[in-house]
Amino acid sequence: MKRKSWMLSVGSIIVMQCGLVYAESQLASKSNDIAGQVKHDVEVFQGFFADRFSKVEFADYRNGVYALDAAAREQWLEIEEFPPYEFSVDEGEALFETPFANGKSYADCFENGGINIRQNYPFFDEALGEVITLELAINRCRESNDEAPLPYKKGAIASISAYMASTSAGEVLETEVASEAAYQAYSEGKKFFYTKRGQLNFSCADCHMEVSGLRLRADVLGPALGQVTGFPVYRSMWTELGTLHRRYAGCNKNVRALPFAAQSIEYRNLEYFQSVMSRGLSVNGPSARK
Amino acid sequence: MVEAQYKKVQVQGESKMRNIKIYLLVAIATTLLTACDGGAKTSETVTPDTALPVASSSNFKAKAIEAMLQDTREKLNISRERGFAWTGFTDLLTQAEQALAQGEFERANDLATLLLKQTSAAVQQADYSDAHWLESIPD
Repeated sequence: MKRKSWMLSVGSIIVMQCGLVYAESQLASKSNDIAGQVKHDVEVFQGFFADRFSKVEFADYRNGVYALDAAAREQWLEIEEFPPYEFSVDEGEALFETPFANGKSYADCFENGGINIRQNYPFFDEALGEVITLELAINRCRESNDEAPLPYKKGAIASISAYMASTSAGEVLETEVASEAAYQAYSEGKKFFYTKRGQLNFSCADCHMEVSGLRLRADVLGPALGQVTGFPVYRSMWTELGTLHRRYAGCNKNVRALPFAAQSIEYRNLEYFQSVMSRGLSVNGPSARK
Repeated sequence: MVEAQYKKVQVQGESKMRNIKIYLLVAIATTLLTACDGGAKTSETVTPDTALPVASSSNFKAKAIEAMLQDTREKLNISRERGFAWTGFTDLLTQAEQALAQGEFERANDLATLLLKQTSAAVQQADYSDAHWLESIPD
């Protein structure tokens, strides 16, 4: 009797161990699948631009349309001699260093005191199950310190984000997709990017891949590759600094699609996808655009 | 002489007959037009019997437009929930609702028809995108 129960126990332990090993191998193979799929997507995406603009250096894509349009580049370089966003960066630094009412500051919310971390955003937060962008993290920091959140499109949040980006200049984006949940968010961003919207029936890819480098009225359309590296940007059209999600909303309006709210899940996933596609490019925000 | 008088009378008779035919045609056409328009509007004494068809016509139009607007509201909500609403929807809906409230049936009808077309197109766009978005990815 004793012998029988002993054998049963050993048997069940062996079965459990086998189950665990199998589950682990399944998980590993799934994460390999995800890594492989994402790597393939990045290669296809970056390869598209390498073929389309064979003379453009990969690193130059962080300069947006100025990598393609020589005349506009000359003007832009002159603008960058006296950057119109400089005052905003100074303002952002002052805001960043001003303590909250409870005595804490932004530096307490971020790793490395918030310096040299822009390249780590956006990322997929496994615990929260969502994409966290830098602007969202800034506002969550405020809220966790009993401060009111800032409007997401312009103003103080753009200045703080600009200052934080300026401390990360030259750091390379290596945005990861490390889990099934992260892959889900990435896939939703990818679908958004390739989906036609609005009365004009255009997708992000239509303008910034298919006809990138061509003219839309007087302007050359910029490439999707590297679009995220230079934000927040000072747009001459805005005459002020604005965030990436402000630009997303503007793009949606241009094709007569009802825009989503800044920092909505849709725009965060899109930013995540675009950041993955721009892997290997370095942070150069804030920057100036038309 | 008699023959000439006979011919004169005959011509006069034919002319009178022609006039009678025209009067008859005009009378029939007027009756038909009035009937199609929903009743006699020029009646001097407005009785419930004559006023009712006019009111019914307005109510009928208003109800038809409201039904169309209800349909567009549903399609607008679907397109919005799926992330495919277009920028002009809310403005058009407000304009159509205002026109209807002010009794401008023709304008309200035009706006509601346009809005129904556009919201239907937006829902179609969402369906199409779900099925075909992968085709936009370069090889």
